[in-house]
Amino acid sequence: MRQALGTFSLTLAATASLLGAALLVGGAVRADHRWMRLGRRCVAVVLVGAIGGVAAMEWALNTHDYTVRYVFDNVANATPRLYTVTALWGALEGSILLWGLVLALFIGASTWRFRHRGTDPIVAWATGVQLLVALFFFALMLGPADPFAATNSLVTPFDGRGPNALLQNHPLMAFHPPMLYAGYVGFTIPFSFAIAALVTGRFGEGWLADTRRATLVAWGFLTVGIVLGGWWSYEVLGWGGYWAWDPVENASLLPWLTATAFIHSVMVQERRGMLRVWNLSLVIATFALTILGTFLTRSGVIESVHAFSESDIGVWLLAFLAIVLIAALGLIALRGDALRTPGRIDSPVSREAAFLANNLLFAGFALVVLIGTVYPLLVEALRDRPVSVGEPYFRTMTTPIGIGLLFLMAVAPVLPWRATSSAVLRDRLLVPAVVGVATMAVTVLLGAHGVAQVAAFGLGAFGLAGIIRNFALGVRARKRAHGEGLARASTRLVRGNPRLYGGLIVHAGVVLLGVAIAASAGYSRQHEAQLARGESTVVGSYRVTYLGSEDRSTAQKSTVAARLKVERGGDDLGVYAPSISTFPNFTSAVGTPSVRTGWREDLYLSLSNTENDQGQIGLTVRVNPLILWLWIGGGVMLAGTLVCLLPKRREVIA
Amino acid sequence: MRTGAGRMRLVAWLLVGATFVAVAVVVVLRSRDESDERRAQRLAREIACPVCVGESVAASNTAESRAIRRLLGEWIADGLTDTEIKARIVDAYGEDLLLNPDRDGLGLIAWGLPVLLIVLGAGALSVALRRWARAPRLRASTADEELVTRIRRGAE
Amino acid sequence: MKRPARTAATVVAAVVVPLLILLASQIGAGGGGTRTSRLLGKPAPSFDLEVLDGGEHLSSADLAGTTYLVNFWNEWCLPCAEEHPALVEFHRRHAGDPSVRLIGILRDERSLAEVRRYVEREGVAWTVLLDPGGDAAVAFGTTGQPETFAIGADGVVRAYQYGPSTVDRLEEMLRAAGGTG
Repeated sequence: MRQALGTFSLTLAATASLLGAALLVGGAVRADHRWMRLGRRCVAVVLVGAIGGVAAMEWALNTHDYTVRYVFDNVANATPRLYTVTALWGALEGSILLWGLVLALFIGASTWRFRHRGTDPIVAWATGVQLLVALFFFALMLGPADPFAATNSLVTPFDGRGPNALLQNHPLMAFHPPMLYAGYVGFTIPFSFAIAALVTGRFGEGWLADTRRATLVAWGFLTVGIVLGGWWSYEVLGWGGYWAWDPVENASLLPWLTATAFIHSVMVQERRGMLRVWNLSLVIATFALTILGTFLTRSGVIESVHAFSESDIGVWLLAFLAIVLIAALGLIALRGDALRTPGRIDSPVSREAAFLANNLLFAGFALVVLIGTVYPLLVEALRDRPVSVGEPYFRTMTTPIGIGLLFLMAVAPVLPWRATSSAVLRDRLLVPAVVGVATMAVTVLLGAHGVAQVAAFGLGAFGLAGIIRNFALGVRARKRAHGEGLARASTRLVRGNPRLYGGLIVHAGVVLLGVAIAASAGYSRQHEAQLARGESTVVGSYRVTYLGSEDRSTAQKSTVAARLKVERGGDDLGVYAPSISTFPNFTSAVGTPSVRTGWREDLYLSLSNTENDQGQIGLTVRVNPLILWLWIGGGVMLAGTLVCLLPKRREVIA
Repeated sequence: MRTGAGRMRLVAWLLVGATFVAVAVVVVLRSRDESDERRAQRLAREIACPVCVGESVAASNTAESRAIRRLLGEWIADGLTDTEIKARIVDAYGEDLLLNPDRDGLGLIAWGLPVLLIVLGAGALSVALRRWARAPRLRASTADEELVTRIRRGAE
Repeated sequence: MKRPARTAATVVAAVVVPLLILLASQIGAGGGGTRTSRLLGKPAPSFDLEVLDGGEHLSSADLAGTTYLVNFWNEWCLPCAEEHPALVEFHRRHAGDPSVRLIGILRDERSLAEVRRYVEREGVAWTVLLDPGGDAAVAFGTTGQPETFAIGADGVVRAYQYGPSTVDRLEEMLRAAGGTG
């Protein structure tokens, strides 16, 4: 019953996608308004189908319908409710189902937003392209990635295998994948408008503003998804870090990098009308990278702790990627030059020039990540030798780029548009530069080492000072002009130009992230010890004493936790209990760390083995500086993005 | 003529510059020493865990990784150089375990290509910027020139 | 440059298409092929480990001149249990021959008490060595268990098996190492 409902819904969605795309594209070519309108109606049907599919799957999951193989593979009777619900995106077929739903929602939102411009061929083409993408994903679900495939056994199993141990360990599982998918899928909308612009040979009114907003929304989701992923890696996986340069992680970073470049260079297009084809290419590249990332994680091409199991889906995804790239490149080759406008930048010392440099660095960053991820495949194909590219490569290559970006971020907001004299620049930059250099000196006096670290601290302070200066000048000007109080002036200031001030807030978040990354990468310490009861070990200023272990068993898992007393400078900081859990049906045990989060540093405790025959546990103690600021920085970036999306408040001059 | 305020700003900038140079020198000198503990951590990041998929020995908790981490500590204490330590790992497990792409042949692509492209991009960008800055934005038409000449003559 | 967009698109396509072909060739081929040991043809690493419940030590020096098989295993790994009867049979066949030895080295065991129960219950009659720090496991380049190495009388590694073996495979390894099978 549920299978039938699910398969029916998916078929409905696929058929409506095909029909809608045909009607919209045909309508745009024939300038037939009726076709275009009918095509738009199909979007609603696609949405109904997508919702039906997800509803059918959640129904099957929550009623433990083990006749559906996906349910059998991903849920067990003992699985708690939360993880039963999140099992929807726990494995390959379900994740495509989620992708389909999110895509249908975005297409619905986009169609509704442009409902008054429905007869514009650009909107028709864009919606048509969106439906073609949807068609692909629903076809996947009717083909190699069928979530409603039946369990092939004669007797209905009475219990399932349960989710992968790592996927039922932490509630964050509920948020990280959907946020990521919202980000990935969201880029389909700007992509479709880019294709529409190329096909029709024009941009259409509001293309810039609309595409920019849609990209910003998707970018915001992706940023949150990536930061949550880092948090999950840190709190759940237990290896002590938040980013491993794993191919799946890189797959999420690549579209983020090109999207960030676009968000900046689109401002140059707004003011100078140049870089049109470059911006189109960035939007298309972002979408292509999301498909590439999906391919890499689902095709078995790259081994990773993150990767889904193999299936035939790889061929389909690669074929889709090939079609997207060849079509886009073909369109650019044929139509791109017609869309170009001659443009120029007046001065190298201008915000436009800084944005061009920004794009260069982000493109370089993306290139490094792409090459590092794909290089092992290249070597395996050509030399048949397995090879890994790990953290050292990425660290060496991306650190200078990151420092360069921090510098640009600090200087660019101070640069005016068009041109300036270096005298003006010197004036504006003096105070932030003093703050930056003073910070460097102070940190060095306090013992900081590492060129990248000190540079990050200095540039971060430089950048923050510049941002605060910007706000302060704006607030002061408002107070003088309108006599408003601080709070009112600030809010009105931000509402008057949300893009600028939202952007500055996002930059502040990036500064926090940059400083936190530099500090944790350069100053983390790690120490391992074997401790019997009553024994303790000292790391930095902390003393950790092993008190004893306790067992806890539920139907879901059985856990052995080691209770550890933590002290610093004589103060008792409490008892922390890292643990190791075993789940039925999975041979490997899963470690869960215990983290004491502080403003300055985290104390990170993880258990490598429970009590052995000598009564000793294996304990790894890490001291990681400034980790909390990573999450705070992410939150600030989210806040800034929301501010950016606020509508501009037009002042009524009374 | 430099105003008082202008002179102060100049002094401030000079101080900024001098402090920056001083800090840079100290940091560079300080970074040349690497403590044993940090060296062990760095090497652990450069060696792959033999049992896992794509994780470094620093990041993984398997018995293998813990053993290698312990051995790294011992070898460093024994005074082995980085090359000797890596050679020991390679002897047992082969080069697959080193997490850096080889600095030869294909590896050159991984290391060199991004750097090359960024440098080329920066070059292209600066050439473009210079060309744009040099070309005047507007060219005066002959009518404009005549008008200016007439006005000048009228003013004399 | 006339038509820069077209030129750029063509250049990008020229890079992207081969990459796509490359990716296509690698589908489903993730990871390495059959495993082989780097030690084949090289001298076996030396070791000096404590015997399980014996108190004494056994070192590779003690084994010089004999042909011996080293089997890395533990009490919880399912393929080890699978190959156990093969080891028992192999040991039985060569028990009376002092020039051939079978040595087991514990790798990543969870509980020595459980190991002892296993040894008694399953009849592990050959020498079992403890490798608590994993030094021997790392020196031999093991990545899992069971893994078996066959070392000749000259101390050189001659054969390697990743995963569970059969009696025939063990005999084959012994012959490769120069022992009489």
